[in-house]
Amino acid sequence: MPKIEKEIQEFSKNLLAQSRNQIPSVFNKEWWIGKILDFSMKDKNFKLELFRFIDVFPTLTTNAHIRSHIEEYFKREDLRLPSHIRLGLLAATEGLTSTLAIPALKKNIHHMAKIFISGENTQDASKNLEKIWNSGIACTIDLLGEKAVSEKEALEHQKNYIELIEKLSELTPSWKENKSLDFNHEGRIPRNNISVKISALNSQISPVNYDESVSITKEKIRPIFRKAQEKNCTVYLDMEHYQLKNLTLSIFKSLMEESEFSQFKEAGIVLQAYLKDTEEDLKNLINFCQEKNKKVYVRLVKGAYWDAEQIWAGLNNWSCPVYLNKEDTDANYEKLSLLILENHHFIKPAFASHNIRSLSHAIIQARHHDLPQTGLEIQMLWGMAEPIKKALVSFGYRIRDYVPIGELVPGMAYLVRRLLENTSNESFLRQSFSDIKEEEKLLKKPGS
Amino acid sequence: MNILYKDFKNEPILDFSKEENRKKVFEALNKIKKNLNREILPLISGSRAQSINPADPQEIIATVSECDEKLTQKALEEAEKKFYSWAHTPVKKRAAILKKTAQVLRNKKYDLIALEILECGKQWMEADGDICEAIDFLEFYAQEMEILEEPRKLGGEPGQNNLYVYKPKGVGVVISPWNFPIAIPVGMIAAALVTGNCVLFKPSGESSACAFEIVKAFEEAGLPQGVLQFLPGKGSVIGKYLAKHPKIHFIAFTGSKEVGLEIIEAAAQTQESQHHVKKVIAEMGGKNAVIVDADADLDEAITGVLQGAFGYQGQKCSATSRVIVLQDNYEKFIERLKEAALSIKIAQAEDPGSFVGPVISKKAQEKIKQYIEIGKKESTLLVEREVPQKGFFVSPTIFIDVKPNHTIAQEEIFGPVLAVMKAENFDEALKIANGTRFALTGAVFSRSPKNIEKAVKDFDVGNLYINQKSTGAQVARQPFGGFKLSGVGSKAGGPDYLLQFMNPKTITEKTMRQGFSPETI
Ligand SMILES: Cc1cc2nc3c(=O)[nH]c(=O)nc-3n(C[C@H](O)[C@H](O)[C@H](O)COP(=O)(O)OP(=O)(O)OC[C@H]3O[C@@H](n4cnc5c(N)ncnc54)[C@H](O)[C@@H]3O)c2cc1C
Repeated sequence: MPKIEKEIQEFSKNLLAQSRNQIPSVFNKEWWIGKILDFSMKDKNFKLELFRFIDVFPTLTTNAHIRSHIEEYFKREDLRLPSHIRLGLLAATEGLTSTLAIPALKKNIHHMAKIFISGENTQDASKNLEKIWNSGIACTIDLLGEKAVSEKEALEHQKNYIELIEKLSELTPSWKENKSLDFNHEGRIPRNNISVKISALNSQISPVNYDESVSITKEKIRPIFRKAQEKNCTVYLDMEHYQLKNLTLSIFKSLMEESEFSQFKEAGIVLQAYLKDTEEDLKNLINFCQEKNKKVYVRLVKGAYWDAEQIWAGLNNWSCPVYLNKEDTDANYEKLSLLILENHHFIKPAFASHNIRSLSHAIIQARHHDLPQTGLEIQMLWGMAEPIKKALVSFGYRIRDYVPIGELVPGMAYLVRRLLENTSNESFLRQSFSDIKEEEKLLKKPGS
Repeated sequence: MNILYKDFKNEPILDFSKEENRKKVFEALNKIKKNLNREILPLISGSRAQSINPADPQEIIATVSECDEKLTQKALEEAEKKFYSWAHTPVKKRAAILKKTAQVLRNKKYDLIALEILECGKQWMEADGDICEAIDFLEFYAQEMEILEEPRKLGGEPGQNNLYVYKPKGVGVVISPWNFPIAIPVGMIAAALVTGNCVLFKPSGESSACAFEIVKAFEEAGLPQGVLQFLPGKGSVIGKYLAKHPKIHFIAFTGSKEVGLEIIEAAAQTQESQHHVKKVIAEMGGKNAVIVDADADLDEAITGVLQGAFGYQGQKCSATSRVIVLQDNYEKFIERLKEAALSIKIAQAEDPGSFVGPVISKKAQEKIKQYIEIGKKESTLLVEREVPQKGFFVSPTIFIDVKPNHTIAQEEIFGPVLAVMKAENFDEALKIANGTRFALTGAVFSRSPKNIEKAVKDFDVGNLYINQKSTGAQVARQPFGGFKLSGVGSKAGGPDYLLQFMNPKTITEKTMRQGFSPETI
């Protein structure tokens, strides 16, 4: 085994051992969510109905609606539910018990949402944010909104982001100083950090209307960048569906070239390792930074729309843009990590993953590329993989939580993505904390 | 469940997030503009008419030599001469010509997209979709006919051989509209040809240049001369003449209810010299409704309604023209829909950002505007926008508080006009949805399995979409067509379509001779 691989193995084993002392919220069977997800992982039919029910739930405004939907989704011959789940759900449909059971169900679903969504608004979330900070973890805030179907809604989202920066800049200065969160190897870094989706800012965005989509979206982002520049806030452009990928990259680069933002050092973009295109895109981005003398954040993720990308490609008879083998995505993640680390003079790396193997690879490779420990950042989603975060914090790494804020209705899409992600057969977290797969298999080099 | 057409692959639409694809459309547009005012000829020249760009009426796309009755008669005689040899051309060969035609269209895809954009005001993606659909029809009918050609053996008794086969009908007419200027005529022509018939093709005058491209594509693919006769000209002349003509065996028509019913009536009158009953395959209008349930995902419902109602200016027979919203969602829905409609871009179709472009002609523009005036008297205007002066633009228009019996809730407008209605419950919504003379497409946005089930059972439409917009049917996946006054129930792109272009024939042979038969020997 090569020396580096040995170090990765050592580091990851240690991290896994430390993490396995605890259990992430999602898999905690003391709670309703843990129980119900546990069963959903055993029964595909139930999982389908459950996720569909969770998707529709926030729009059910009356108890009568809730009752009829539970009946329609779960009172079916072909669904065989274990008694504790059956009782809980079906009690909600029967006359007498329903008065008690419906509020209980509501509470359970809200609790489930609250694991992933930190509050309905910034005010609401501000306590959580400070709590997170005090536990040694920084954050980046995402505002969950309805899909912007109109310019009015898009402008509303824009306004909310600008206000968010304002609010953060009022909140964060009073937080306690924390060396590993406040500094990287080059100096102080902002506590204010937000993540923005371009589709929320331009309701008319469309790949066919490419140039105009770029220019209009830029108009929408400019005030956000301006505010961020003024208030010292990092802004990431999240990466969404494949159809928006090229647009997102064009918009990002084009903004970076504007003289107004020539001194703005706090912009970042997300790249998805599950895409076959990403290596090429990353190389182009590195060249771009080299040529224009820029340094940007890159958050490397695997990608959150794996199922959807496959479905869309299938519907359109397009070649599938994502890898179909989990190991290929994991291997690509490592390849891209390496490429980023080799170019850390142009790219400020953020490794966003809950996969101990993927993270350990990046951490060890960073050491071999003369990047100090504070030069990189580990990012994870709020409400997930808590034990891994804790362990990494104790090792002295800078962890940043991705914290969504928003109401339940518009938050549903996000919540369902998280539930899918955690319960997927291929999920590292599921395999580590629910299926309890052996260490060797979990941590092995992908593709080996 | 047995899956039909699992291996049929629809022609993929273009991925416009890729730069090279966008570039090719721009290039094709530039190229085509240098070469406009095309000359379009039937077999022999008659009088002349022009096809213009609806976004710029000064821009003449093509000058068309129109056929008169005399020429039409001549074309018919020519086609008759070819019938025998074409009907006896092996199916394999006929199917191969269709597949080759598909390839010709594929090769010319970008030029055809550009032509549709200019001649018909089709948006980029709409134009691309139309060409994909045309290609699908060609591939699909070719494949279907190869299956249908196989004689089916009936019964298993000895001493007798029973076969069931299909035979072409004869010479027929295809009368096509301009709204899917390539897909619809190609579909009808391909079905008629592959089943062994000869075709007189009378396209809409508003899409003559597109129609000419179709004829050229078949020619390039090696279709024998004379099998397909191209008859540009006035429907009131050629269509009428042929619908009555005793030598015509079938009429495949897609267009308005009025013209469709006239054709059905004319075709029903048997002439003295006529030896057969004419078959009419008619696909007519719609007054398609979308039901938005109390638990609908509004993000999806609003985008779906907007595209269904205003995509290609509402000039699709499948367009959404009524929305019935459950009262729990009504206020929120109209509020969001309004803003969404105010946000879409109104521009000529050449602009890739165009959501609503010009309607096809001055006449269409005037007719739609009249309906808008009626709507203003009957109900409450929610959205009306400024539109460019040049070109035949009509504002995307939304009325609310519309009652089911209002004119704008009953008549097909064929333009970007949407009537929104309120229903107390799902049953009432279904009743309203079913309360017109049409039954073409319909959609339901709901997450209630029970209500979806109700719609599946009782929503009277040819194509029902669940949590999806009412437009955009795809060949083989969603065979398209309606009933009531929307059509005769023929489903384009589906398993029953080709059968309508043929006469079934049963052959019974006594195989026993002198006490032995193939089974016993
Ligand atoms: C801070 C942060 C920000 C994020 N921002 C974004 C963003 O902007 N855009 C975005 O898309 N995602 C984003 N994500 C979500 C992220 O993509 C998922 O959380 C991530 O994919 C989970 O991967 P993992 O390494 O934690 O887990 P793992 O369990 O190791 O990997 C799971 C991932 O592997 C991939 N995968 C699963 N099955 C297969 C298969 N059969 N073949 C190939 N690949 C497969 C999928 O991407 C899946 O999500 C973000 C995550 C974090 C932590």
